[in-house]
Amino acid sequence: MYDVRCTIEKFARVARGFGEAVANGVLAFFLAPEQGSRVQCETMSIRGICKFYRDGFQRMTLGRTLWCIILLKLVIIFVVLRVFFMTPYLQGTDEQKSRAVAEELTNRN
Amino acid sequence: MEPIDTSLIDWSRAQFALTAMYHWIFVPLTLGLGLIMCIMEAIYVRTGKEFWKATTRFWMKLFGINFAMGVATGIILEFEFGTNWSNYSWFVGDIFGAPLAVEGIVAFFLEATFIALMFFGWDKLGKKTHLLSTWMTVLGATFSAWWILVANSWMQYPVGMEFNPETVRSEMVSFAAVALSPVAITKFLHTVTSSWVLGAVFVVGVSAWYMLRGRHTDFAHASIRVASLFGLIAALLTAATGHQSGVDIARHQPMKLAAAEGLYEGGTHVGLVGVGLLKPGVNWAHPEEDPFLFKIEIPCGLSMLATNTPDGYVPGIKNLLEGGYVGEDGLKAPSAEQKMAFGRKAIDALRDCKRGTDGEQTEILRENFPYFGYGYLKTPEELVPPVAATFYSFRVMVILGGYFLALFAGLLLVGKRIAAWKPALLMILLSIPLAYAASEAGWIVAEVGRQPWAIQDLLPNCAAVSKLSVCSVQTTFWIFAVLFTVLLVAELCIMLRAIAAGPEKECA
Repeated sequence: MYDVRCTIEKFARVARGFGEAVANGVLAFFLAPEQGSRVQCETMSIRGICKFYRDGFQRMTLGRTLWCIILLKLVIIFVVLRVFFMTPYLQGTDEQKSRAVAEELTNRN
Repeated sequence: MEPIDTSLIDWSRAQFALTAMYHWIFVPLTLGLGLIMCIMEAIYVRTGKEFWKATTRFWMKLFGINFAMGVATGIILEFEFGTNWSNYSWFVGDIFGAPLAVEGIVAFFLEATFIALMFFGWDKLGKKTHLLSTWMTVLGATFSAWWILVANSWMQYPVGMEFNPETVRSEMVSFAAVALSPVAITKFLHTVTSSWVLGAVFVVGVSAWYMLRGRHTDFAHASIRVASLFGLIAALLTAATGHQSGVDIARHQPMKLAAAEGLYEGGTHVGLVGVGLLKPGVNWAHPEEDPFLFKIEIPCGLSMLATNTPDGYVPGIKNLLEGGYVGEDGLKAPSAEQKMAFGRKAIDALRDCKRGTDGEQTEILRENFPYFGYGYLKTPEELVPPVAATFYSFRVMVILGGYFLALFAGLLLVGKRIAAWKPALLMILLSIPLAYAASEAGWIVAEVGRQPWAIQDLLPNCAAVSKLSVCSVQTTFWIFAVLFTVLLVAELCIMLRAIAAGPEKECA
């Protein structure tokens, strides 16, 4: 039990380090380029990215309506249309599909 | 032999056309307005004036509304391939899938990453970094268009593939040939530059509305200045790429060109019809009868457009169906009947291949495969696309293209004096729907003009369509019609509200 927890902790530390390194690189480029090497620690983390997005979403006005429309649209497209109306016509394995199409193409002329 | 109900083909085509045309309402504005706001933001970064920041932010808001409304509308087209056009979908194999996958992975992620930085990063990023984000968002959208147009171009000019009779699929042998086919390059350039024109017309139209209302006049003048210069360059590029598109069509889809020109009997020194009225019910077999009630044509214009020489030979519908003329390759063109015989041979060979007979059939299939689709046609007349729709759409596109060119040049010449001329402002405002009409007309020429083909020469619609019940296709047609109309009304309401609110106070 102890070993498992230790391993998880180690993995988490490595992952966090890796994540921060990536985030540092990305954020140093995107979030505070004018500050060059003086990029603040807080912005140089995954927390910084999360904060960036959280602030952005919180400040949205018209964007909220647009996001609602986008989400509604995606639900209609993927849940309603795809599941009930636009199911793929060809079903089964590739071999079955190939056989079905060959039959169609050679019988329609 | 199992005949397919023609109303099934018509409804399936109508559904695809409806979806594609609605989708295309959103796309060109994203491409065109996107680049204009990139230019405006570049001016802001260069001058440091808050006025340009507010101007950019206003157009970016309209860009965002249009982007949000249009996003994912294209996915329905992909669903339709699998549901309504399953034979086509299987037949094209990975050739169609590869560009769409690249589009999904590269372009979509590029857009998705940078659009957040663009909208959320005004106060958090440096000026140059924010400008880079804006450019990357627009480049991402343009890359998306590239891959979609590569897939579309392959349907018009199938290259870089080999047909595998075992799997009944086309297999890609050269990604470069597919991605960089001359038709794809021209189509991309023509489509994107014409979208820039639409974006420019949108900006000058909205700005003209502010001038008519006497609001935000400095902002409107500045926007018109940028958009009309950009629009003029874009319109000139559209004309140049349109010419190249004509050359490509003459080479690879001569029937489309003949239909677009109402040309029944071809020849050398063929004139280009500028304006004309087609006589209804003309029979292609009797081209001696003048197919026009009246026409004004540019002498040798079509020969010039198609062959880059004033005396070049351009085949008409009758010549293409009867064959016998000498093509660009120096060979005598086969007649439609001959092509249909080759096609039937190819289909019979495929049938024998599937029954497991010897390799000779594979060779027969390979030899006749370039005419595979002709084997499904019953009469040569089926090869003639709807002439009137193609002819008039082509005129709408070209005449409006010329009008936009003149509009932008006029706006640049007149400058700020335009504010005093109310009828002209009204005309500019009313040009916005005309830009959409020109853009959609271009697609009608491209897609109606290539009928009856789903894939040029290889697969007609009657073979590509899934054997569904007509009723189910009608049902989904009306569902999409309602859904897209609601979406369009929502976009218009939100867009009009945003326009009525106007730019931020720095622009007032």
